[in-house]
Amino acid sequence: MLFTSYEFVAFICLAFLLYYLVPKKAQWALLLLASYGFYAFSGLSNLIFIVSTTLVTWGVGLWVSKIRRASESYLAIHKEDLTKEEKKAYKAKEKKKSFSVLCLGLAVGFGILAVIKYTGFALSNVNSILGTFGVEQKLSIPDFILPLGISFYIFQSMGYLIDVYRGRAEAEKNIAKFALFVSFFPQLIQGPISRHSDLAPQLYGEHSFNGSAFFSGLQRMAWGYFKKLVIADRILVGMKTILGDTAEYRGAWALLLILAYSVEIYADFTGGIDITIGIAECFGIKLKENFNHPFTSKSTKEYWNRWHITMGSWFTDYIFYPLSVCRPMQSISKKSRKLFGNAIGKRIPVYIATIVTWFLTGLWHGAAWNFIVWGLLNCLVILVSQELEPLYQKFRKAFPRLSSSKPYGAFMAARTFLLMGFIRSLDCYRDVPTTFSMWLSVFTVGNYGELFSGKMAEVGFDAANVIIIVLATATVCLVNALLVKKGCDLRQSLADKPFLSYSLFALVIVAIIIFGAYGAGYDASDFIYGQF
Amino acid sequence: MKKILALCIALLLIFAVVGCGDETPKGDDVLKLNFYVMYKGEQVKVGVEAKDIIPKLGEYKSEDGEACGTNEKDVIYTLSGIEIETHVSGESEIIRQIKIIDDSQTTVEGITIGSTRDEVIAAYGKVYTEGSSGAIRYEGDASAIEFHFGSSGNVSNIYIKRR
Amino acid sequence: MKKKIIAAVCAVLLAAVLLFATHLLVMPKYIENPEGRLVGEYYSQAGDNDVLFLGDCEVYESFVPAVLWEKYGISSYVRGSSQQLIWQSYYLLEEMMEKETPKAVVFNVYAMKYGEPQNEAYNRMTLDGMKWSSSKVGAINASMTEDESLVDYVFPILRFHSRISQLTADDFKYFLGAPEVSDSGYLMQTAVRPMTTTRTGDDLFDYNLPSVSFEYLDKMRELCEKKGAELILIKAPTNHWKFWWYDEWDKQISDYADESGLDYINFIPLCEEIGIDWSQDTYDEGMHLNVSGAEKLTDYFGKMLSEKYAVPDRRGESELSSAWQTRVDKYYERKNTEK
Repeated sequence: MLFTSYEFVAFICLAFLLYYLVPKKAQWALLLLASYGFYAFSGLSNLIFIVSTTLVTWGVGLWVSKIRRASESYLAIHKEDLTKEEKKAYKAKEKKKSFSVLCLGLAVGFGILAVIKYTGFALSNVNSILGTFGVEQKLSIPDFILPLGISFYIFQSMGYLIDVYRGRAEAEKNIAKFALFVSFFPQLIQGPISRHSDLAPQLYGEHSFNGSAFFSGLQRMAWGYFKKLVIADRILVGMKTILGDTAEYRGAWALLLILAYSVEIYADFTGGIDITIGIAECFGIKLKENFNHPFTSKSTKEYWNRWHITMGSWFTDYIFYPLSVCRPMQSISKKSRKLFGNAIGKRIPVYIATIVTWFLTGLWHGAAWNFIVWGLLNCLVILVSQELEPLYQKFRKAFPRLSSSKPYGAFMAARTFLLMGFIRSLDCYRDVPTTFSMWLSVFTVGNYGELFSGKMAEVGFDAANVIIIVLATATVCLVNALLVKKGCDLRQSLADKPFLSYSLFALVIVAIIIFGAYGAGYDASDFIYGQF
Repeated sequence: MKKILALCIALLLIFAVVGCGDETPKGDDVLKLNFYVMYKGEQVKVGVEAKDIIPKLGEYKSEDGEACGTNEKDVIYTLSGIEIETHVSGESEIIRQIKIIDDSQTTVEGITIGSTRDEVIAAYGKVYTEGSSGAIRYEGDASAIEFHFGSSGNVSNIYIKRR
Repeated sequence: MKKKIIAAVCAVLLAAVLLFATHLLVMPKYIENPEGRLVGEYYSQAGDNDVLFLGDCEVYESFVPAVLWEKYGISSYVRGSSQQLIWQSYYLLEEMMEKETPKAVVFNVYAMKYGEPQNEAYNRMTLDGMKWSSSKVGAINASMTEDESLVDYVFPILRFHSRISQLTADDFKYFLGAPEVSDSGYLMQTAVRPMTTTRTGDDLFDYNLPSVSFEYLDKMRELCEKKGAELILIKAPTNHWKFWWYDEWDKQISDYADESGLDYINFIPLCEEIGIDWSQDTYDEGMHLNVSGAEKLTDYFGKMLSEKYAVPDRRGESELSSAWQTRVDKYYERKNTEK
């Protein structure tokens, strides 16, 4: 079910109604029913993947927890009769045991994802290599249909397992409750990726109906639909034309695409997250924010602390840090310091961990080279910036007023916006050489006059459409500026002004209905991240 | 431990089977992907913009059939040996049907007006559907070809239509 | 709390007013293609019609109720629209039968060739003009193509909101509605474009009319029986390859009529008898009749209705007469203006 479908609107209204009618103790069960119902709508055969992920993760989580508890209990019992070395040896043995079990769980979870999502990619690459060596017999590439949200719920489940192993989360004993954690429907399509310790108490808790809180959730949802339908889906119409003919639309059109896609993905993704968080709020559940004004970022590093925050923190907590401190990396660190000296030596493990993390981040986004290149380019920019940091510091010292001025800050933000925009266009063109050629054409093909000709209307960016996009985007910018300035939730500041608050809400709904790019005449588009 | 691993591998294999999409048909199931005629060295096929083809085909006559209530219409272009029917909707005019009307024109497979039913089946195969009129149709990917037979039992008209 | 309730009511009213105004603005006005307005114009003449005509463009451009009244005192209405499918005709009849007790229902059988939903644009032209009733819901459900949804018919703004960026001067001029375009459902065409084609229709792969069409014909017949109306099947005269009437179809309708005890009149072979001249009486080269041809056909059929089907002459009823005189005057005024 698309968030932007009539079926979903009917579904969510029913879910809200039933949620507050059933006994509070049964609310979590209703959410589980709703989540599985939502998932089943995408295809009954898809249920097998989420059910098996749930079963395996739940089982492994309990197992790991059992090992740890048994170990703690044993050590408590034999506190006096074991020596320090014996205790150490025992702990190490038990840790190894629980680590093996954890690895089993991770292997199954990531294994499912790998098989479904990456087999085709892997085999097609093998075929290319075989072709290079003149081997005619090619491997047949299976055609797997990607189950809805698999990347998100597997990552969320695997994060849970690692947290249980680390003792940061309690293993969930109730399988039905655990199934809800894995399948909670608002976040199935595009996150945010939640942590069990944050989400579980809220999911399983009892929630009384609170009119203002419920309305606040509806406001957030409406804002999300506004961004998605009025801005994102409207831009998509023109974008599709430009992407459909890369021979015709290069140079200025490539730059237009880069800028348009930046706005489009922002509106689409943050809009979707607003809907997700808004729905959860209506259920009395607070999900983590996934965006924090990313286009105000002055550096790529800052950008990745503000964009898709939960994905970034997942990769940091579960890939980057463990990789940085694991034994093999520590020994690499030692060896490289010996070989190359301290300065270079200490960088190598960080670089390896960063590259691997970004490689995997790219791969997570899609089973294709353009996503991997996207990840590695982000990595390159971050590492280069890191290396140039001493130079930046010198610059800031030499020109303190300039470097702390607003225009300079704006320049940094604009530069970051453009840089991220260019790299992000690998998403659109899907083919690495084509993307690079488009980047080059921005500077070499001087067809900027075409943007002011009737060709814009042909593409789908006629005057009326552009006006709506610009005005809607300006509205979003204004609201964001207010949010940044006031530093608080606008909804809170409107809470005691019902006339203004309700009228604005009504106007947003009216704007969505009138200016939303949905229905016949527009292509229905799923959230961009739904494919990941 | 081994049992668990075996179970996991088995589960993964089940997913692999369940997750498989439909296989594309191979071999004799699909006879031809698309039907077209060659006219004055140009490939004339259905589903394309008329303006890309018709001006290259030389002289023609045309007549319109307007639709009620909309600005759409059908146009029939009569050339030598063939008729091309298009559908006009807004700026676009798409070729909807090609009709072979006399034996000066043959299909790519060599069938023309007057060919026998056996010759048609020999050229196109046995995978066809038969209509109540006795005509036979071969389905392609985006087009279909129909052979209609007259009272003599031979081909009286040939149509290539959009699917 | 009271403040919140009032604020909520105000907000709902604000939204309702804005949405309704937008709805009026974006709904197609069908100025260039007035066929889209036909179905909705019925309600001003609902009730007390002795003959109801149903069908597609062949019907609403062939029969002139003003002439039927003027010459035979027959009160009638033509409920037709472009590509009006048989199930749409059935549901329109069902709707009309709530208020009408006609002596005869005349159905043009050309639409029986369509056994499936065809085209959203034509659906809209037929269905949006209907007032809400169970018949309208039935018609929508039977007509919807795969991409359509009932919600879009209940709230047409969800379908037509995209026109907000394509508004024309007509949308503002006719914001509150456009003037009547038909004369009791007859859409007048005064142009003369003689028939030039000699082409006939192409061969068909399958000449069987869809079974679902016969199912709806049965339903129509049963509804007429229940209401005491005579169902008359007709095929309006056309002479063009685009609207070709095949002998095989003619036979199937003929056989059905025989089996069901209905009359079926194919006007195509009667054109000479009716006096239709395809060089004068058509506005689109033989596809449909213009006003001159329609008047001839109406006169011919009116005699039949009066004599064979005993549809009464009601010119003696003063109130009805007065209402019809206004319509007849309007008809001739339009005829003189559009010449």
